[in-house]
Amino acid sequence: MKGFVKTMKSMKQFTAFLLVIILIFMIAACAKTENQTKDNGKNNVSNGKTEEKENAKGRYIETLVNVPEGFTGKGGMRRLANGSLMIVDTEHATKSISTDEGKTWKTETIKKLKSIIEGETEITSVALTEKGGIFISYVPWGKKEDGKMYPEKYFYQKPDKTIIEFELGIEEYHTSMSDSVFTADGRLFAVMQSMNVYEIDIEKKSAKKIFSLENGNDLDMCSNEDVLIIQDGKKVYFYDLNSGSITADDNVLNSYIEKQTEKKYGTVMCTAKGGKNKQTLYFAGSEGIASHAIGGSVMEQLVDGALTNLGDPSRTPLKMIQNQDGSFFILYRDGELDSYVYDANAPVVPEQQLTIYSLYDNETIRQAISVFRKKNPEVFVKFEVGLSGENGMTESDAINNLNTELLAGEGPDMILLDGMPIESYEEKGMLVDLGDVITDLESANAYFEGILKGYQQESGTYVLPFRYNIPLLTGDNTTLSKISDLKTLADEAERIAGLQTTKETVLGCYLAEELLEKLYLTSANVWITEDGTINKTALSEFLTQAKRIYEAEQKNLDEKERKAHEEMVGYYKKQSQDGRKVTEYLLKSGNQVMNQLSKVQILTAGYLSSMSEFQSVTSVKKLSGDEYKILNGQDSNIFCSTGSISISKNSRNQEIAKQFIHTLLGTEVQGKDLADGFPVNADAYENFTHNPAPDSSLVVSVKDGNGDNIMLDLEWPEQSEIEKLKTIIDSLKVPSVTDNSLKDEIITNGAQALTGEKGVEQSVEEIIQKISLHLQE
Amino acid sequence: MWKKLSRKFHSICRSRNKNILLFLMPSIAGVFLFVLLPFADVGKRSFQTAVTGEFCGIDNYKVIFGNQAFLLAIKNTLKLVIIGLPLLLVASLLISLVMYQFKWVQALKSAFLFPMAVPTATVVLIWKMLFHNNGLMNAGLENISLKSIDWLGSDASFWVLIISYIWKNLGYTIVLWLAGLHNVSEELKEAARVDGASEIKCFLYVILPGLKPVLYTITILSFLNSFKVFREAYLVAGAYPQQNMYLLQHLFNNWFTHLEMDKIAAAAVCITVIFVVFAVFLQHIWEEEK
Repeated sequence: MKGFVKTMKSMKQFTAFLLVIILIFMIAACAKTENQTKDNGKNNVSNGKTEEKENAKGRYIETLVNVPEGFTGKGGMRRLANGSLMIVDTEHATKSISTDEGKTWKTETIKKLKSIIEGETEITSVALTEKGGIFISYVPWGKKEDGKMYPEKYFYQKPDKTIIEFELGIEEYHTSMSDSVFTADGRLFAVMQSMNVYEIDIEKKSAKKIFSLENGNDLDMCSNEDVLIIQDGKKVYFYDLNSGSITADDNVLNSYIEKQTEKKYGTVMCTAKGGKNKQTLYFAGSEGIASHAIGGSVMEQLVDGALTNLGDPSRTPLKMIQNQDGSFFILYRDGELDSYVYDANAPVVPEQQLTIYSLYDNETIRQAISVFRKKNPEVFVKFEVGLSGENGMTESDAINNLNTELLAGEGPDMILLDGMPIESYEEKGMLVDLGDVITDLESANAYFEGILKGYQQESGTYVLPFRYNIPLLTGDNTTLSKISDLKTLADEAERIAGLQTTKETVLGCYLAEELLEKLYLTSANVWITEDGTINKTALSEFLTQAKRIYEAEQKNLDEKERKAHEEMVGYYKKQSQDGRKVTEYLLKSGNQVMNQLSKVQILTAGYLSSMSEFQSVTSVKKLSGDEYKILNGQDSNIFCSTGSISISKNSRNQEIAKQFIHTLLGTEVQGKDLADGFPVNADAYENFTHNPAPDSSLVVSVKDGNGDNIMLDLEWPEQSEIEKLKTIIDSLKVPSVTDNSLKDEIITNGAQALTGEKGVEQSVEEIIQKISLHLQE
Repeated sequence: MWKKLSRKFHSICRSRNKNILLFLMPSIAGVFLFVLLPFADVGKRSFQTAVTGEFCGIDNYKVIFGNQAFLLAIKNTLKLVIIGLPLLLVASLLISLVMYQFKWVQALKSAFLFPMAVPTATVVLIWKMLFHNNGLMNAGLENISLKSIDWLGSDASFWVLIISYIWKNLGYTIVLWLAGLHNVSEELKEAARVDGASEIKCFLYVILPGLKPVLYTITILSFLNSFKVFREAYLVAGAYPQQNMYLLQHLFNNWFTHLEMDKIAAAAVCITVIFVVFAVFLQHIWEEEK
């Protein structure tokens, strides 16, 4: 018995000892991992290098390939059976062949095409055969024939240059070709605008419908020996060339294509170059190049879009081919041809890394990244989007995550502050003073000073806007001359609505929330006093004037129309993944101004974000004589930033970040109109306002109040209008409020005051109660 | 208190089985590493500026006690504890006393934990259905010819918090009370009844004193759970709810969004002091009663 007790005691001691050893081992293991992470962190600090992929090697390197002089990128490209590369330029009616992978080109004119493009002709599709044959479909608009909506014609130039001309009368000339492709054995397939797919027999000059596409969001075609492959922006179709049947859906591929198209149109594809991989497809889009084994369960990313031209929002690929050695050629729509060759010794990402964080995606930033990358190939610029729509995160969650990183002394190098608490970041000393950057910028270019220095404070400038919208009011000159602020706008709205001749609404704002959205940005600055409290009188005045405008709006508004509008907005918000886009659409002047012609509204109050919108405004002005001017609310000379950048004080790459700002605010990036706001760089304004398609014309048909059609020529704004807009921009100097939490409270509670559910004073009290909490914090 | 702790520690050290210490060490080390050390850092930060880390004395404390939002959040949180906690304790005790009489009901006691198992997101959906202007609560009120209430937009919002708190914790507290009731000696109760004590006297002089050990645990747990009602409040009414629903966690969350780490640290220290004082006070009463 004594022995048993002794054994038990030793057992206990042994167990206790064992547990202590395990504990020590676990703590040591944790500490080791932590140390390793720290060490990596140190490397990161000293070199500014990427962490995880530091030693990983192997990347596709993008290289510019020589193209024939003046090549426009309109046409097609194909690898010929003899191994040479052929490109066709339909603008210049030429075909060029290179036998040395683009180093030299032999160009000759396609005589038939040259004679065709001399008239008013639209080339609708181009298809090339492996033997050098060229098929072109075109619509000669100059020779319009009765009963033919699209009098489309076709010609095929054989490799021996003999020409076959024909018409097919597909769907009784009610459609035209969107795209066409030759298979390896010379069969021709085409997709029509009607989304029907046809096989064309050139010899017999006949067309046979084989199936229909379900969507028409995007389009690209390619084929291998056995299958014709078509993607329509939502789905990829596989047509078996031997059996004539469509194979089962590839769900992995469909979901990839849908995601790509949502981000950006223009995903192109190609099949693998023969051999074992012939069941492999390659795709090139804004995300980069990806491969997929047909029927497989994964998409493998080969090239990161952010490291190539594919990530540039202003570039769209036209054709892609895979070469014998596994490399790729991608022809862009602007005429650039790039090769993508795998280099096993290149680091997976360039050694230096600059991280930019934004709550929402931003086209201009992507454009700047692409330009910056070309100038600084050794730097990888990583663009992190907090609210990508895929992670179910709210704005507040995303900001809190960012703050956690910032407070830990980490986080991105640069932050886009739109929708973020700018003042908190400034006050807490999280941002770098950009005063020296402004001095450097101004020594190189002229800027719209009021906007560039819009966020300047006594202690420095921590935020630089790079894109902004212009608040604009359009309408007849007499009315506009009487409107200078919110009160006079309400006066005029009441006067117009009270006229017996008025049958339309004043501003076309059917819903209270919509109206408040429009009026909020030009007035919100005056409600918050310098000591952080709410100016009750100003807020009350805002809701009173807004209520007057709302009542004037409702006076001539049919309840049915209002309901239909409400349902439409609700529907689009439901359909759209990002509800902000629907609101932005409703606020845009260019979209609303046509309603003046249709006699839906008399004035348009909105925000101008691109030249195409300004084109609508000036075109309406030309037709109706209506004028435009800056929209002032309770405050005046407001600009609504759509992109403001800052540098984090935690950044170890502050100099690179400053270089990036130079690119972002330089003439090259600022001169491009990406429909996300106007440039801050005044020198880039000329390029920005330059007509991108001077030869093309666009006519839209608008129904007037009597139901008759008005043809509106959408002409590019004349120089005098461009100068007038520049004068308006010159006067902008006050950034609008960006805090969305404030806006949400005003709109939610204010709408109840407008509709009469609550009194103005009660709504003001409720808003103050909620906002005070916000401000008191 | 320290003397008592020190006495206990020495008695453990003196005891033959020193292995107890060894077994306690991981837990103590964990608490030290993951609770006490970080809290010491919070304490340090409460005397520093938010991002730059400069020493600022008691400025942060001055700021938070002059901050109306902080005072409102403290007021609402205390109100929730002062009203909600007794309501919960009394209601759950009464229900558990009834249930104790029916042994077959006790078989279902795991079902009382159901509200704690329901994911917060689901609870929030139910809350929205209940407390929306056109929700079930107002439909009920209208059915009995009463005026509907703006539950989330008026002063009534505080009662949404109370209802939420009680609903979520009632079942769990009942289970704890039932466990406590089982520990009250049946012989004592029997003896009291034989001596002619009525059921009320039996409850007041036998059962209730027998429940005192469990009362301390239940009170502390319910107090801690009262802080968790924030999750529902936040998901139902957002970061800036009606003033009566505005709790300390709303404030902490919003401060974090605005990088007000200095204020968060100072407020956290104050809250901890209040909590420790409350716990010590409860323990003191308990010890005295013993």
